[in-house]
Amino acid sequence: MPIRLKAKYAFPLVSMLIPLCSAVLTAQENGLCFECHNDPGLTSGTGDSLYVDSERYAASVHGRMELECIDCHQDLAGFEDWPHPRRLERVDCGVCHDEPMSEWETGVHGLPARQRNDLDAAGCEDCHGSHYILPADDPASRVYPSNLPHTCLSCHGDTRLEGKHEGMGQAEKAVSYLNSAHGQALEKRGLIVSATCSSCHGSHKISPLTEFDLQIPKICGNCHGPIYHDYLQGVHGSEYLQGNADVPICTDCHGEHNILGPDNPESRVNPRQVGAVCSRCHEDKSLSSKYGLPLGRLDSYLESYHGVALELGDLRVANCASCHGFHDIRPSSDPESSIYPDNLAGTCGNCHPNAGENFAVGKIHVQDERKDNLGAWLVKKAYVLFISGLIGGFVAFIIVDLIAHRRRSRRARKEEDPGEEES
Amino acid sequence: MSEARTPLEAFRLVEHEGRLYHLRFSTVQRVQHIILFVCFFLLIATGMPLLFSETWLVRKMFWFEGSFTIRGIIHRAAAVGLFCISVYHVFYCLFSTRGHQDLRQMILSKKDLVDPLLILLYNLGRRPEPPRYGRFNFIEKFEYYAVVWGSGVMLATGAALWFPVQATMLFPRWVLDIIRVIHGFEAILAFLAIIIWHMYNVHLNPEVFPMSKVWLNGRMDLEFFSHHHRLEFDRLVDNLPAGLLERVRSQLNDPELGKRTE
Amino acid sequence: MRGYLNYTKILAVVCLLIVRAAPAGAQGNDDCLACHGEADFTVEDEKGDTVSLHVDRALFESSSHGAFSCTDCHGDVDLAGHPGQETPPAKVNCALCHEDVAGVFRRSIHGQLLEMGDREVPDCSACHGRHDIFPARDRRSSVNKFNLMYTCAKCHQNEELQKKRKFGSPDAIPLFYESVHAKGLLRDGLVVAPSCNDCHGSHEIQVSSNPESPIYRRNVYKTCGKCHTRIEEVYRTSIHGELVEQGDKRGPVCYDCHESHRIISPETVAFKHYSDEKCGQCHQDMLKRYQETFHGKAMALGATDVAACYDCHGHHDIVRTSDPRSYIHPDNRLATCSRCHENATPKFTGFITHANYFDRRSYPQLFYTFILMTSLLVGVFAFFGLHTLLWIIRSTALFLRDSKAFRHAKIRVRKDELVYRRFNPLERFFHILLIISFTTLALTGLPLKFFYADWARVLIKLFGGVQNAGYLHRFAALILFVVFVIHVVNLAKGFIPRLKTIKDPASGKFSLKALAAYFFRPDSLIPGWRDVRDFWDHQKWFFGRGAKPKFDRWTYWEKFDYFAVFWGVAIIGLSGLIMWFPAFFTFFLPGWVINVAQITHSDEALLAAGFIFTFHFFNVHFRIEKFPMDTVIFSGKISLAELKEERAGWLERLELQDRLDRLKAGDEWEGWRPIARTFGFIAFGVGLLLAGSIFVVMVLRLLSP
Repeated sequence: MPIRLKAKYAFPLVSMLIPLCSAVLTAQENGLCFECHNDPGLTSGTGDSLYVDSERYAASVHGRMELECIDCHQDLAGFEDWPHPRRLERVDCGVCHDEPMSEWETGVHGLPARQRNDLDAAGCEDCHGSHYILPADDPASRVYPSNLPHTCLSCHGDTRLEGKHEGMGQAEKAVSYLNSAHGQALEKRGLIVSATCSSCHGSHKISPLTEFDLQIPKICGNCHGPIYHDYLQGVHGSEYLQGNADVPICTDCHGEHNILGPDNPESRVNPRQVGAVCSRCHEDKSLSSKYGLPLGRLDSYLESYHGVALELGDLRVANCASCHGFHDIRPSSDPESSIYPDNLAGTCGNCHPNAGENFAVGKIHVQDERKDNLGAWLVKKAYVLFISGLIGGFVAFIIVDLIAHRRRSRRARKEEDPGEEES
Repeated sequence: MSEARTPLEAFRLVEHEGRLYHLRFSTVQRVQHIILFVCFFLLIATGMPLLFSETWLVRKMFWFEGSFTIRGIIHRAAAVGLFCISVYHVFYCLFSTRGHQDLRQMILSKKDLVDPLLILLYNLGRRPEPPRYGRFNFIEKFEYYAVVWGSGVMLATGAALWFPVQATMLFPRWVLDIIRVIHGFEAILAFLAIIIWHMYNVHLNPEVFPMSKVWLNGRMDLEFFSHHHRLEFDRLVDNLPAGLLERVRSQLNDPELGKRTE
Repeated sequence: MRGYLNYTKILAVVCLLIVRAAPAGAQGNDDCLACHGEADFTVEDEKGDTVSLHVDRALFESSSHGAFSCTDCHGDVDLAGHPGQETPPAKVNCALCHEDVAGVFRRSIHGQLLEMGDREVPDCSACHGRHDIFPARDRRSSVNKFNLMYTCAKCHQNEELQKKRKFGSPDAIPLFYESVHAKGLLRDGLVVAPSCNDCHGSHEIQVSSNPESPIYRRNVYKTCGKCHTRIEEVYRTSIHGELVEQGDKRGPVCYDCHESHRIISPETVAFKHYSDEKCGQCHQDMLKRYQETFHGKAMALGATDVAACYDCHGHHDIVRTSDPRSYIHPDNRLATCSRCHENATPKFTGFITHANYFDRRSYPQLFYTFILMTSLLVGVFAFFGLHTLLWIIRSTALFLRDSKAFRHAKIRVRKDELVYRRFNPLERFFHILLIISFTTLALTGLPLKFFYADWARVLIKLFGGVQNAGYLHRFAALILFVVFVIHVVNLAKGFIPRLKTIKDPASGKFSLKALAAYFFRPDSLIPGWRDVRDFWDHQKWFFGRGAKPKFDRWTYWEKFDYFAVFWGVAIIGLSGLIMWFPAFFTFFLPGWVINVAQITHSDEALLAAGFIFTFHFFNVHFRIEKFPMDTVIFSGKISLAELKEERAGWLERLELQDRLDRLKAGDEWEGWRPIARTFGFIAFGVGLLLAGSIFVVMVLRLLSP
């Protein structure tokens, strides 16, 4: 393994070296390489292009620092018998960029390389390019925030690569980032402060999902600070802090790559879909028995006017979040909860102005009507009995009437024409 | 206006294409019925979906954005229409001559309890004659009171559901839940009653099939009238002046008509 | 901000802590807090106001400076002599430690004013607090980005200060709360969303007229571009960006279109609705022409799915039309139109989007159409206006001279029992359909013509938007079309069998003369010589120079009414169809035909509505003998008295031909009278309201400069 310089020393060191010893020599030596490699038609024996555009190289971050070809292609150092006949060694970027390199080696991209010399996962040049590398803050760089998704998606968005490597994930999911709130902010509004791949997954050291999952609320909180703070106050967040893996974290409600704002009808936290998101856990039998969560919440909601109206497309009516809150959901026993008995009138009052104390009196998620609202149960039964009796009576009367009518008309016909029946 | 009209009108008769008819419903009554019909239809069409929100048809009904809001607006507008026509009807019954007369005929009597049995016995062949009815038979009276009761209940419960905040100043919200149940079931009741009972009586009944047109032109054939509202018909015959009686006799081909009572 | 947190500073703080914290920190503060720790520790200042001198120990100790000793900042306080000291201690000088920040602050607008002795300008503590200072990244800090707007609002949303100092944009902070930035910050809790300082700067803040300010006109796009990098790139190459780069004052910068504080999402309806006004700030004439097109009118009436300026011209990437990148470059136009008009044709793009009807040189076809339609409009109204005026004067004079006879005649006409049929049921039904469809067409169409009037907006709202009004308009047009076709078919059906009977009485063969005699027979609606004579006699009657002419079955103005509708339906119908199916018609016609259709449709509609709502209404409602309504079109009946009065010619002819008795009518009408009258009066009322609205709006428009 070649000797590695610490990255932070490498930069000043190299820049000091250049003016000192090789001002003339570099130009000459690079010129020597470009004598052949600046030819667009230059190919290897197997037909791969060996072309290196000298001007584009000069504009790259390394070219601007006037690095020589052999600074990277170190196996050519001291070589004299040009042209070099053999294929060059793989460039070791770690010679200068030590820290990113060691980060990469512990991430999902670098691990296979280190463990079993599997170089199929992304290496330096796959993301940064090779001869024409630009600084990350150059809008033309492949790792500039607004270009990064496309760079990552060149592998992760490719359906052909989907099952090829462990942990690649589904291409469709990764591509859905482009239409998410984050992707749209980046693409449409040109907002580089929006979250791109590296904002959540990191850049050089990309952790495997098992490690990553636990970090999600904190990672989201990097940008959505106050939301993270709210979340930790609520029942979900405080359990999360205690390491409970059952509670929902950000992605459980908002989705992963395809996160959309709540106003978007496609969003999982849009009023239309909130019920489905909450009930994934709250209607789950095993979770219900584990934590004593009452079941039947969604059904009783869908029975109510709110539920019916929402189902039929009125988005103004109350959904789960309207009453229970969202990031800082608290149990009804918490005096700060929006559904704490004393706060209910105020919560209802958000939509029904001037709602009084009476407005909240009575069970809301009525599950067993006989127990929760005996009056309604009795009325319902009485109506069912009455309606079935009455309609039964109607039908019986009508049937008798029809039969009698038929009999009468037949008799009348017989009287008119007595011969008909006999023949 | 024209001199000839008045006597006919006094006997609730009307001339059409040379024939005499019983004028069962005046124009004002027919318009009331049409308004009631429109309001009822709109209320059912915009209310029933709430009770059957799961069904495919209902889902298709609200396909465009804001359609549910429009549903609510139409429902409330029709309710206001029903309210107005109800109030008007009360005034009409109390203060107009014709309305007052008809309301008196609408009052329930012992006969209305016996008649269903009699018609049933007649239908079962246990009695030779059907019962004789007045201007409104028990079926029509039942329908009328069902509408009165139904409108009252629906308007009252509907108002509470429309203004829940104000309603809960009077009672706790669980009462509102009961009211919602009542509103829903009363609607089903009304809907079924109309679909089965009223539709049978005015459309499917073989005697009027495919439709009794009396709700449109108000005219009832004298023959039909004499069969189905015999008491009222007899009263008419008793009071008719000679000239008109003669016309009725010739029209019904019954020269003996009215002579028995003389 | 993070830039200030450099190593030297950390080093200095650490040194200070090591040196001072141990001996003075805790213990010295105990001395101070013995008094200042009390919650009710107050003194009176010179003015007699109570000033709290309380310092919350817990809060202070959790603050950034919590480890410091009180005397580190309040260095001038002599512990021994301090309690009961007359003069308050000197103001704390933050610059002692925060030297570099203080230097920056001194050059800012706040710092400069402060140095000039302005006491209303914030110093360090006004923004950062005193004993409760936290790092800006801490949620508790008053300069944390989630709290900063409230801190700035202390002065910039202070009404008293606003009045006194006249801040540039007094509503800046309330408007900011409506913005996408506030939504990102406050709803989504996004630390990357901008707060006040991200655009205005913090310590270095300057007024916007200062070229160093990040919100100085020429710097704005770079400031916005700090986050919206891609937009900045695109904008810089646009014509607007180029102008700004060249220092041209006309070049719009970000806030000219997006507003400075109330930046709402460009995907919202609200943004679309004011976008044309924004473009119109500079492109006034274009906006005016745009508003004369369907796009502009519908937009003004609240439609959401019509083209706004940017739908055709682009957003940040607007370039000159001659630039091949432009969306409205001739080569790209079809693609641009096709984005909404799916089956647009190359000729379709010939539609003149910003047409000026007054520009004879550029658009002769539009100019002459406009002149033609306008003169038709003015001509008809002038002619019938005069005609009606004379009539009113004449009948008023007659009425005043002998009002009793007039009233008697009116009662006689109404109460006469001998009634004759004038219209058959189909004709009456057609007129009802005509009323329904015409009123609907007027109600749904006129708001587009008078889009700038308040009533137009109210009407459109009533119909539930331009889209719905459009559906209703087309539906009503279909009714009218069906009525028209059935009427024409009926005419033909009546005419074709007659064709054989049209013979010259002399030769017994078909001749043109016989045909003409048939067309101009007294029962026909085709105007003939008799009508000219009637017209002349009528004029003479107006001036009291002759008897009222004896009209036959149709009067001359009824014939005009009839042909006006006939002509109107044809013209309005055709132009309406062109606008309904523009892509189809431009398949074989040039694009400007749509413009012509629009002018024709609009002016002809105004003519029709104006004519019906004034002259027709005069004939059937407002004439003293008809007032309030002539119901003949609903009942179909005319009384003998009225026949004598109005159509003596017809009566004579009927008697002569002995046809009168066949027209005698029965009376099933009575029951329907109230319904027909209600319907008639509703239509009448709607028409009057519309006529009034049109009149008011046109007068107002003419009066306004």
